[in-house]
Amino acid sequence: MMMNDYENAIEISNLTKKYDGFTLDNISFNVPKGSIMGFIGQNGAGKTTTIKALLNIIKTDGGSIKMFGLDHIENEFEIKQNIAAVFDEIPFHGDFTAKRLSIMFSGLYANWDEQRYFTYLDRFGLPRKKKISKFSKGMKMKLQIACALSHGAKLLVMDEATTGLDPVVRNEILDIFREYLQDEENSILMSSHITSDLEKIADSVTFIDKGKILITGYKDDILENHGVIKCTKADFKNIEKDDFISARLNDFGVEVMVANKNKAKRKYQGLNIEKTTLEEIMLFYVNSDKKEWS
Amino acid sequence: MKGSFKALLYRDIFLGRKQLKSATTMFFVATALVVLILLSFRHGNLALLDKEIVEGAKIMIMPVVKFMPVLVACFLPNFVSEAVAREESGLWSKFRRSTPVSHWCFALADYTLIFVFILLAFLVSAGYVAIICKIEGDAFDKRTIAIIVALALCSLAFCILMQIMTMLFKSVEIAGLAFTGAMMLAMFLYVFLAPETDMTNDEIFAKLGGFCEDILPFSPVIFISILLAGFCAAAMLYKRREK
Repeated sequence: MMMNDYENAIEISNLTKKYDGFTLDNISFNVPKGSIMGFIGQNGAGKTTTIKALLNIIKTDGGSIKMFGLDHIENEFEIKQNIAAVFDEIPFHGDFTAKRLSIMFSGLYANWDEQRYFTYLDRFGLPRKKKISKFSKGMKMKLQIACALSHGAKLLVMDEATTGLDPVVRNEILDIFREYLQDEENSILMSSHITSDLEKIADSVTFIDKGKILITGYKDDILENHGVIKCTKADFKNIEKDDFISARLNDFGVEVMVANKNKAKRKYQGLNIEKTTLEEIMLFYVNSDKKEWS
Repeated sequence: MKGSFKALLYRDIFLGRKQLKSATTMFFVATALVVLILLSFRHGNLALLDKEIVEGAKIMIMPVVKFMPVLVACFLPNFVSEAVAREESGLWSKFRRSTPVSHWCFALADYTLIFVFILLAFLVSAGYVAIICKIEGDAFDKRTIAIIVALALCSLAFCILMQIMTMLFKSVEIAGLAFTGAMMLAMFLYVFLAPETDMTNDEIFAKLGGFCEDILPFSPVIFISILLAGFCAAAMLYKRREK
């Protein structure tokens, strides 16, 4: 298959990885070409394990992964020429300067574009000759992104890359991603537990919890379909358990998350159903085992 | 790998430059010490002693002291293994797996440098010993070259072993302890198990020199085997995935 002839930048099918005390359990999702997918879950949910499997850093116990329509192990090096990984911590030695990194990267990537890299450095206001160890966290992240965007990668894989950054830097980074996605060949998988960022930028979202995919699909559809019923405890008693994900009880009443807002509107006429956010959806899904929580 | 191989060599040298500098400095310090000892034998305090005592001391000290800088020089390639292994214990190993460069290429870059620097160390050592021999009026013969080659082979094996241990334990400190422990154990075993001998130091050095001469014809094969074994081990360790 040709590298351009694919629908999904990433196709994960029935991926399984067993650890002592944790299992990534048969997970499947796709990242369509030209889109950005938010990969959401709390710490320890399995986001990093999935990304490690994607990058062939860990052995898997089952399932398959395709990137650009190619098997991620058989075509490992061809695929990796076209992807860029950005981690929560900078992986380069602190003695490197931005300029020296460019020399190293020219050895790692055939398509390394030094001119583009220096343009990004200037745009981000990053000094070329300062040691990385002297950079702030935001500067380090911008440097990683400058490296990631300077070798013509068609897919960015970000593992908690915006965690710990202030809102101004995060917004700058989101703007860069928007720009990157203007080329419809480019795609992003962005794992994060900061759902507000993903709400701004993601086209699709996958929720993972305890190694299982709880929900995956287009962000707008997920937000459109889900809703929160705000009602009294007496009204809550009339709502069937199968009709909601989970319910948060507080002193003033109950908030009930439903996965099908329209159906709930028809069935429970008179109850107030409000729009919800990705953060709330994550919260209610994470507590779906308990059904009722406070 | 389609990128530039030179860039990978650059990375190794850049990361190991501090160790490289300190190893070079150590070589010059060791050489200066030998020169000072020689000067002392000729013009310093040692020259004031009885001539017979001086000659005796010279015979006892010089065969060992003369080769000290050689030993230091032969550890020059260690900068590659230590620098790379130090990086591997950090986040770099995760990032490295996301690049399109194969484990063979990373290992090849390391071992190209190890090869170049051990040759350089050998040439510098041979030059240094030749000068000392000339000053002392000793012969720079086959036996002397055989001793330099044997020292170079031993230190190469130690460097490679240290790299493998560091990559295996993912910690320079633990690998250093394990390596020292293994060396000490080997020495203790030798001391306790080796048969008692009434050989003098001279005789021991002569025997060792003879042994070095015996293995000299095989040294190219030993050299290539050590490098090849280290290269394959490093490549496999680079390929190793997390559990």
